[in-house]
Amino acid sequence: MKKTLITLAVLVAAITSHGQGTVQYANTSTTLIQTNNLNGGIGSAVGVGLYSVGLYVVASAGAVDADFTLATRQPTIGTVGNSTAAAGRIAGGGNPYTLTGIGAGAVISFQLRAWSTSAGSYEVAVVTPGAYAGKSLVGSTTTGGGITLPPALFSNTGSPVGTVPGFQMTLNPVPEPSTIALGAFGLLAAWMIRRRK
Amino acid sequence: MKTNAILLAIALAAAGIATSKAQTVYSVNSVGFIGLSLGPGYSLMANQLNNTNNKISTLFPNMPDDCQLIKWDAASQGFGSADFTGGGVWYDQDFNVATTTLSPGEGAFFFNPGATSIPVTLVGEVPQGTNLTVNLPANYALISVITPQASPLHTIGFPATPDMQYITFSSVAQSYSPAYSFVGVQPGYDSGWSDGDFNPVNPTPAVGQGFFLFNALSASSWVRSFNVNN
Repeated sequence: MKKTLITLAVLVAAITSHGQGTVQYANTSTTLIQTNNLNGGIGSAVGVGLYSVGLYVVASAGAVDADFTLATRQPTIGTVGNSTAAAGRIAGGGNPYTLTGIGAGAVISFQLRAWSTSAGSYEVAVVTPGAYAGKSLVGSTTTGGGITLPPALFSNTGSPVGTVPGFQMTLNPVPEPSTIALGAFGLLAAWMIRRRK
Repeated sequence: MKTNAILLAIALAAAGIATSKAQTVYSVNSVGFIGLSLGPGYSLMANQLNNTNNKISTLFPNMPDDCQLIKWDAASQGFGSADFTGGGVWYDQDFNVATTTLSPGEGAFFFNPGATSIPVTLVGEVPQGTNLTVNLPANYALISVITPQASPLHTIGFPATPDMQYITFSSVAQSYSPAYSFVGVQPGYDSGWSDGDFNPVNPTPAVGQGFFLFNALSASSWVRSFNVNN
């Protein structure tokens, strides 16, 4: 019988260890993703498909903000606030989210980044006037998988350790017309002075 | 889940009587309720009464925000998408009103985001008949006893097979309890189940409790006959 049990234990361990790692967004009503219009207006992100969210993952603990590049972004992209029923929550992409290339029980560092879908990516949105972009703090957790529940990535209390609070997307300001006009006027003046000389 | 979950009452409540020339046919339904106390965090629970539609919106109305219900997808051997509450409404992950059901024989994780227990009363008909079926797919399945009974599995016809595992979740510890394994009925193991230290055990799910079953063999079914009067 011991042999049977040992065989079983090995079998179950093998099944578990070969599973893909999973996590759960679980950003609740207290950990929403918000927008800031730079005029003091802050609110939960809303609008069908207006905002996308990507999960950036490094397969080790202790990663810092600079470690999260576009190459570390998981392939499946979610959306943010695509319904007023749950504005500011993350949807799509699967939740639990099955990680690509990372197994169950792995220690990971992660960051969530959100951006205006029209910009195409966070990296573009942060340099595009009129686009929203924002990112979470860096968190760390151990992935779920198999019958191990996927760990939540968000919490508003920092518990469990490694979870992150909600975050805010900010708007890159569009240069105002008067600013553009002033710049153009300056260029024109410089051109005229050069002509007189 | 605190299993002061008790089948509080099974009442002979409804009787439909139809008369024909040849005979009188009686249709008897037993309606009852199950009181559960779902503690903070995850509880592995089950609904063992047939409600109107067994939708979670019917089973768990007016829940506080950010509760979750997570079922297991045996086909993919992974958890399905969590449904969650907001404003007393259950939503799926695409923010549509959830249509998820939880029927007798199934199990699910319920997540209570608060610091205190949530009382839940499940109401419905007790499953009865000669063909009450719980599917036991290969590998892991999240199931429950299909009837509201707290009976050792080996006394209610559970078709255990070699190397099966019975896995429960402690809502207090918020982790799985050590698994029991089926080692076959033999001297000293009347039920055929053993814990990890080779002690004989009798897996006995509580009323309202879900559990994982690991089926090392091919898919099978657990078919039962049950009548409240027997």
